[in-house]
Amino acid sequence: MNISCKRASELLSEEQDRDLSFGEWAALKAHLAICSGCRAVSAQFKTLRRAVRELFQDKSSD
Amino acid sequence: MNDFRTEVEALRPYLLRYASLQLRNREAAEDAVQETLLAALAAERSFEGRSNLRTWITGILKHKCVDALRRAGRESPLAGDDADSAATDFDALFDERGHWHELPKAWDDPDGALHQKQFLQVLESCLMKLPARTAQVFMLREHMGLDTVEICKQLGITATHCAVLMHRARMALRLCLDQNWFAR
Repeated sequence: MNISCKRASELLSEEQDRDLSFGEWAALKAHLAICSGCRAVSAQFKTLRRAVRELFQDKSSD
Repeated sequence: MNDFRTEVEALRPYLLRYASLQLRNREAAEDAVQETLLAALAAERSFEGRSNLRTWITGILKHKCVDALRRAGRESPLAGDDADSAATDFDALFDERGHWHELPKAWDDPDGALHQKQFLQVLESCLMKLPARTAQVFMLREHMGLDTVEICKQLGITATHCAVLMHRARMALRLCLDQNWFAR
């Protein structure tokens, strides 16, 4: 079953916080295969996570 | 003042910025920082031998922030629940069939952006634009690194609600970065 972009974006977010069920994972992968917009969002969510971690990094210490 | 005290005090602006981003309330942030500085000064001996003062104090501040959020959640559960206004903007991103109105495009050189101070400033201003509750949940997850089960428990919200807030935060931030950085 194809899911909507809205649903795909929800799963892309939830994927960062919990393990998706097999059904969710499969539906998401199938959607990403045919949707460049959601592939872009997938990469952007990952960038976002790294960016927030950069915010309070102190390069001069540690 | 002895050296330790001077060094601890020098971290105040950094700690205030950190707490303000997490708590989204100036007064609460100042309280958390004050408690943190006092706790740090009282625990000087337990710091001895550790390498990084800032890392150590940030660890104390994290606990104070979580305490503050937990207290606020108890006093007014779901107060300032900013979901409604955000939901309206949010639904505008998709058509009635759940497809993008405007297809997102891949960001150009995100790795390069991460190393630029200006980019991180844009990110910080995007974070400040999030509704308070949404920002608190997002920052507990991404900034403090708590897992979502823990966040729900601390703030007294359901897992579903937590997931909704996380999704809204990420969508709002990607749009904000898209408009204010990558589309330039």
